[in-house]
Amino acid sequence: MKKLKWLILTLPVFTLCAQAANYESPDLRRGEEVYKASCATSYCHGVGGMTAGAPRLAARDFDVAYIAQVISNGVPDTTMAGFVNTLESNDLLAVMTYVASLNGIMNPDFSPTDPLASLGISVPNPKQKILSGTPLEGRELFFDAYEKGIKRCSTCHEIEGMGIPVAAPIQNVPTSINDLRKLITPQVVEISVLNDTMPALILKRTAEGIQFYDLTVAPPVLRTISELTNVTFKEGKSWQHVNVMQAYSENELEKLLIYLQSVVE
Amino acid sequence: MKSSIKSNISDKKFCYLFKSYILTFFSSLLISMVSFSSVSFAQGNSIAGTDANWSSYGGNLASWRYSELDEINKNNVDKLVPAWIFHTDDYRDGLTSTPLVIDGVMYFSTPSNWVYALDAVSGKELWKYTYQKRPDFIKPGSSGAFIQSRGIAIHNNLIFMGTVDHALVAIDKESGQEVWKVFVDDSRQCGCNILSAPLVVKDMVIVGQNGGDGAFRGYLTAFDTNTGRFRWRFHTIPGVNEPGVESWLGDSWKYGGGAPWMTGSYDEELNLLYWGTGNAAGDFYSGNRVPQDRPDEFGINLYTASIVALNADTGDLVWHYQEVPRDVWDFDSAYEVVLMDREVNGAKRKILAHMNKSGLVFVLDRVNGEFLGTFSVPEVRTWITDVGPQGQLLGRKEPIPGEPVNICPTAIGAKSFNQMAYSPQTGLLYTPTLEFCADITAVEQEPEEGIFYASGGFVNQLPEGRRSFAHLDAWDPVTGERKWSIPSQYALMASILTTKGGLVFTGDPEGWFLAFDDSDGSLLWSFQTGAGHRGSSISYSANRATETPNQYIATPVGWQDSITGGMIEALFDDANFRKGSAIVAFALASPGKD
Repeated sequence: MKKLKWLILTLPVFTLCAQAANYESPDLRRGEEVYKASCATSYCHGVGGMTAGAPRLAARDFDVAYIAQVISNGVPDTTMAGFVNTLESNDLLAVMTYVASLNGIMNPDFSPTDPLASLGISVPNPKQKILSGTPLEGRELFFDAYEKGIKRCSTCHEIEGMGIPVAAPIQNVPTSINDLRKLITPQVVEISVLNDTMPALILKRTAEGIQFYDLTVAPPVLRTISELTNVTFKEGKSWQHVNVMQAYSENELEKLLIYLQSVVE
Repeated sequence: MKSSIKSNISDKKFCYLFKSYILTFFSSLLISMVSFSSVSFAQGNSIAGTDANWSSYGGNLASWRYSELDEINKNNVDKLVPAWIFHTDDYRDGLTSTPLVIDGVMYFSTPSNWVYALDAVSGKELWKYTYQKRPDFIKPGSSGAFIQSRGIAIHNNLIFMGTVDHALVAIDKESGQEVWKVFVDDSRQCGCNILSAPLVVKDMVIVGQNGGDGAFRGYLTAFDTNTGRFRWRFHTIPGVNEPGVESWLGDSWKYGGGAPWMTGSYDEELNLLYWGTGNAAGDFYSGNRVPQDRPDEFGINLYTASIVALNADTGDLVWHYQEVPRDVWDFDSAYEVVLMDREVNGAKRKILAHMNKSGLVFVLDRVNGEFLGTFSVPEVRTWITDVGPQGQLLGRKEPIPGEPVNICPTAIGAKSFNQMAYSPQTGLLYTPTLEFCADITAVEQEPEEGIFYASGGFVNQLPEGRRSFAHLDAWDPVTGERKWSIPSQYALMASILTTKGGLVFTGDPEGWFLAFDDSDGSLLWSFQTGAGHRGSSISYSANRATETPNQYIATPVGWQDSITGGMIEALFDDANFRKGSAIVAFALASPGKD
């Protein structure tokens, strides 16, 4: 009986899948490709809109507005991410069209020019600029998890919506590598906690305690000390930005500067 | 004994469990061992189980989930009653963690990365820590939105927890205040996060991460327990000019997965860490990650789907054993590594037993990684036909691009992340096994850093001809013999606890918490806790009103209805896999004393 129920449940889905497979629209075919690559992945939705890790999407009576909203912006606090920033607009439209077809809507009324705005959905600005050439190479170096690993710039700097904001936001980009080498990071002091002395980037200091980043080794450690009795301070010179730049070659630093100059307002 | 069982359990439940008990002797005869060398059973472990405290994720560093306490035993387990129930206020996604107990205080984490400290005798809350996540920490299109917390670690005065935005935090054990925090990686870039419990070894806290189903390269990282400073990192996939990178096509190593997403084990005498690694990515299609001239047996896409043994001080690789070369089924080998000392061919050896998602249990010499044997736990198996004498996977049934292929077990696994237990008293492993299949469709996919890189998808299926879809088994890890098996109707996705009192505990999705006889699997006691079981029960002792400490059995309850838990629930129209988020602690009823 359980098997029979399962078959009955899935029959309409197979019917819809067959319709989708025979449909001639290029958008629909592309939408199915995008769906397989981006949605029917492992623990997310099933192939053909079936139940998998995430809920079934086929034969749910979804309307066009709901499909556009969820695919674009996701569902807050769930595993459903929004795809407005990760898919090209044509692919976004195509996958919406495909999911609509799984719900029996074969000619959805998405405006091809501005489908989201036409539905009253606000589209956040992409956090990353579209780059190419040397600026793009510089970005790849800034976030290079493979060659540079934890010595990459983004271990301490947040820019374009990625990276860890240990340092203050980058506002003034040096015009040359020499100027980059002369950069002094403000608020770096030496702190001794019991017998352990370390370079520290101070975040907050009150009568009750102190919060700082320990810069001894990457990645920096955010320390919170509520008892100041065993803490001493002095001006620090043991940590300098120029030393951590040694992870990059001269040529790579040039590319990093060009990247930063292209994205920092 | 049987009459007391019936009084605690519904007739329907009793019938199916009782029939299962009868069936166990027949089914144990039908299981075929895949491969094994000539070994014999003997006990004599130098490792101890837990006692008053339950101080690490797997109980001890050998991942036994075995308690040396025996106040609660076969003769009195039917007198267990709830001592206290504590409801968390985190209802995000059930409760999948393993509580820890140190000196009469229980600590545990919840999916939102909150940590609670409770009086382990009364269940009264002592403090609560609420982790502050980064805004927008989830990379769209990644697996970083899978939110859970499976456990914590403790060392001296600090509690350690990995977070959903890929940080590691240290919390003061007395006050619940954050002491240090370090971002292990940038979740917005890697699409990864930390859901597993860290492991403390010496003065280091070691942690892996989730994210291996995305275009990501997994690693383990060790930090100083006191300061949080970086000690070492071991990449589970070799980089440029490192041995093993030749097992990858081109630069596919950069996105090859292999995330060590559960918690490892440690042998103090050998100073070796043992950690299981995740599957290769993309999951279901290997055409763009395997060199064409590579033989299809050993050493493909290293060190994914493997056990790695590392020098604990340096993180250097000492040996490895790859269980699923060229994985195309999402058969992670990231689960617990159970260490034991046993007699093999007349000589006492340091061995380990390790089950991966496929349900194959590999038994290795843990000094050098020598293959000793393997046995297959699920009853329905189509992904391979057999295993060769050296552990080779024979008769592989693989996904095909663009076409669904029915394969058993499902990519969820013959076991989920919930853990098995080992009793040195019986010499048996107690394993929770799932019997599900999946229609897997492979897709050739281009990797993009941090984005889901499954290279396909799957739809779970119930195997035909079965009335039950899970079973609790007892296995001799040295001979590969199944001693007994108890079927369960839906799924067993909670860890197993075993004790010196001769008991085996686990829970089911409907909320039943169950105690079995460790020698024959007979059901001795059950209790409806009100919510499904997806976490890990523990045992500890603490003082009540008397001077003699009393033993407790505690279990988290609350079904995880996302990802794997949700996928299984979706297969059953009549399932009532109950939600919730609570700890239920049991003790022997002792009227007049308290």
